[in-house]
Amino acid sequence: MSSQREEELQLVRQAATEPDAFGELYERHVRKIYNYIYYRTGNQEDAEDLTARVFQRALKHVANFQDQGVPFSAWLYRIAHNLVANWHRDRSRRPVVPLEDHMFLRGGGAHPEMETIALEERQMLLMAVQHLPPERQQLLILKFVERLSNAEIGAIMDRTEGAIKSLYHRTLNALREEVRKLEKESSVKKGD
Amino acid sequence: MSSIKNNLTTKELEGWLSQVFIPVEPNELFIRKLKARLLEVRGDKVFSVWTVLGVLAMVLMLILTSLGFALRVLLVLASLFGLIDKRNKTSGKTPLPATGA
Repeated sequence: MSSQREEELQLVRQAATEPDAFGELYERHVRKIYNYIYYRTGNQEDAEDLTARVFQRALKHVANFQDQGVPFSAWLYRIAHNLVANWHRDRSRRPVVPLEDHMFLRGGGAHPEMETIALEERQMLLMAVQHLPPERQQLLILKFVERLSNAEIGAIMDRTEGAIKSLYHRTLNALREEVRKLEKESSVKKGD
Repeated sequence: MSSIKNNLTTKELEGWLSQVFIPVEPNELFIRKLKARLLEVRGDKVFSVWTVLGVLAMVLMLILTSLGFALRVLLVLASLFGLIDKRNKTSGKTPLPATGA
């Protein structure tokens, strides 16, 4: 076991009774969890609400955390994943959620037309991702937002590294297909 | 552009995903408030030194306040007795003390 993991496990054990220890764990993981939820929900308000719920639940159950060979972050991601799934279900399984305007503020260049195109393309890609099943969305967010390796993603999603690699390729194919569909719908609407 | 999207290679798709999926910075005030709320809840069951000191300070203040109140009551009573005594003296009901002159 690496010293970093040992240190974190020690912190988790202390967090069961010491507020400062839980505070330290919170500081280490809150931004990652927020990002994950933000890209799953598409808006800041729900991301904040669900992030708060993740850590409230973590606080309640941290004393029961058992070292099963996965990092503490994996446990938090699973809580987050379940809460987001419940959130989607409570919103009547709407697969597409409103994507906040400020998700697209970074423009594609100096020219407004190029910025508009870049904005539309970003929106299309994010919508395409949101049409994918939850676990595939999770995989893409962990890979591209958190920049985790297949092994690290496997630990979080409770799969082998090989399974993640295979899932990743299937996900890219499915995403390509979704983008194609959205492109086609967009062309039909514009009357191309 | 649409023809490019239809023939996206894996590398192009990954590049596109890297450009779009960028980390978002949460609102700092939200982060701080949530932490404070969580630690308040966690600290609820912990008997801290500061809690003890706070309670002691409050008890001391209550005692002092009560003493102060008691003193004021005594002063009022003493004033009342003084007033009554003065009235009795001026109406001649009580004999004047002998001067020994």
